[in-house]
Amino acid sequence: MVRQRILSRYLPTRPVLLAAGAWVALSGGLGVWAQSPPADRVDRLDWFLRQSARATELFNASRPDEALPILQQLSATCADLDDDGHVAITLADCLAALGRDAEARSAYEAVRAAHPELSARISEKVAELELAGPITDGLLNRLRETVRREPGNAGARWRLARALQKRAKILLDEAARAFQAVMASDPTVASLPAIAGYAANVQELADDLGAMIRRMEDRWGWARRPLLRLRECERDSDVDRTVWLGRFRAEWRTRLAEGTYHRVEIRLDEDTGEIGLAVEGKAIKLAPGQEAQVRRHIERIHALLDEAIQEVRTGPEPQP
Amino acid sequence: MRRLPTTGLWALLLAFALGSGPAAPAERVEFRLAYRVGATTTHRVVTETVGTMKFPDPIPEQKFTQRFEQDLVQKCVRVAPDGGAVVEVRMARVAMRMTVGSLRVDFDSAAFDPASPSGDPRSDALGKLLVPLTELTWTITLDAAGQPTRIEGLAQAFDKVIESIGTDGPLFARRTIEQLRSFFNDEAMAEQMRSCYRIAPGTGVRSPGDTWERAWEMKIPMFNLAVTGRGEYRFVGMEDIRGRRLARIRMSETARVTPGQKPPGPAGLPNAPSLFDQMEMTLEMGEGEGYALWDPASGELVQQRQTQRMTMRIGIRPDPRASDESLRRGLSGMEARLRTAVRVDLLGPDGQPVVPPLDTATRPR
Repeated sequence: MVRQRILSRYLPTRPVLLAAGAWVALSGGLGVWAQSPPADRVDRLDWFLRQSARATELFNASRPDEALPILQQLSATCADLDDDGHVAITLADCLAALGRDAEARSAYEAVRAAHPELSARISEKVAELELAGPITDGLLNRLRETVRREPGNAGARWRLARALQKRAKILLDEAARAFQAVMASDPTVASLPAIAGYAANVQELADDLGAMIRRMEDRWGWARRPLLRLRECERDSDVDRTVWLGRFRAEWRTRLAEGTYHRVEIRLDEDTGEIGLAVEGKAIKLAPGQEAQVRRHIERIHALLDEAIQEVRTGPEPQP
Repeated sequence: MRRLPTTGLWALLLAFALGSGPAAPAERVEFRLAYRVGATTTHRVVTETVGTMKFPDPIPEQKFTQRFEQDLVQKCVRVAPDGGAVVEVRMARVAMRMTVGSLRVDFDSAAFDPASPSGDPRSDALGKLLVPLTELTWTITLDAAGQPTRIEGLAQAFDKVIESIGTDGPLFARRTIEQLRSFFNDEAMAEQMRSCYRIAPGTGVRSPGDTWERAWEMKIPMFNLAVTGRGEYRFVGMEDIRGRRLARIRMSETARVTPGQKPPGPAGLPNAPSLFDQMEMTLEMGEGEGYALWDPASGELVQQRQTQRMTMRIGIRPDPRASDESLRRGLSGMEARLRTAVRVDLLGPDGQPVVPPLDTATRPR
């Protein structure tokens, strides 16, 4: 009653309008709060977790462009709830996956500043980001220094090995180009039997190494796609291929000294991605190293098929 | 009429707003348990988890999500003279969606048809494992305070599930399955169930601000762990939601995880190690925060929300006798840092939550 009188008396005046606004706001925020909380800490935590899970699922589905705005919104509105740094790190991972390296780097450093306990993890992620860029002498020296300082750090050794093989690929490409230039400049040298085709072989070595690196990164993950692929046959649309190798089967007829013949078969299973070797139908177990060799050759044949099919699709229509 | 000074008005408004005006008498509420034979309720329990998994170097860290949904149907089959009851429980639906890096598993028993597989071998395998759970029925005896005292039929039900999976295979696998079976006895499940009912406020008259405590213990024998939990619950007040007068209860829980006593292996099999014998696990749990909306007239849980953080480390000890090479080598140091939300909703006859969940498209204030 008292409240009504006061409000009716002061209603036309401006300060009272403000006061009334404040009353409504406070009533909604505090008075009614005890009966019907619009969004309390538990609801906020629950919502934060739900959105964070949604963004993480998108990231795991190789859709960082869709995960990023969700994470940015969470970071802007609920950074106080991200006490384990999961959202902040995933946001930086998305930027790295999208090739926005400078932003990714500063996002990683922001996480390091906010969560010093995550420093070792951040250092690994920054090193991965560097591996996605040019392999400079400076990077190689830093990686070597880390390995020297931390001899038991398998992750650091792994990154050094990957950096070195990327450098080797660059050097092999350069070598192949140099050989080709020599042969192109002197037809006499190019026609010598020992030299003919040499540049092509060096280029094949470079391409083979490039395919190995791609295959390994595709399987183990890297900054652009840091997802472990558990099975060889799992492939995503981001792999640069126009054809998929669904089924592979190669058969040889071998002849022994006594004149007997054997049928040898290598097969790639479409569903499991496993490689099988059989002699006269009897399965022979391959050692992991042997399996890797076969897989590498299948990969090279796959690249040939890819090229051939591209040529057929883009080439002139066959004459009737 | 004398004009009230502006400062006075502000002070008065503030006093009203902050509730320092004439205080309303605190509402005293009677919490009852109104069991009725034949009455059926369905709760949807959703556990959502997100975090990272760190494997031994150089395997890169992987991000993890999991959403596990269960629709639990409870039917009261008997009411005891002391006010307790026996309820029959079944899991009408179970669904799980999980991603670990690029690995994805998606299964919903409501959409699963074993005759026409989805084409994803992992989801189909999970379906074969989880669908038998929807065929189980077990009974819980509740005392007059709503706390479970006895579970019957769950162990036999699990036996059926394990039989449906099959117990053929190498000795290692057989012993692992047999040991798994030994973990799901009725006594162990009663202990689990008691920890699930800890939010129940019991019976009696309570006023807003009243608090009570609960302590519980839970064994996780397959990982050789024991959980000692302690919770504090506070009756905040009554709310009118969708025509129901509901009590809001806030909860704050802590749990301490210690190594437990590993049960002896199952009889009847040679003394070969199982996966659980070789597994080493530690678990750290953060404080759990949450609330529940409780119908004090019917004794029904209408809605519950709770979140918690946990860190889990799992390793497998090397076993030189194992036939599998990876088990001979063992596995060191997988660490998972996870955050979990548990959401429980009472479903209405239309299969939708009685109290609508927070709009997921809207950012909370």
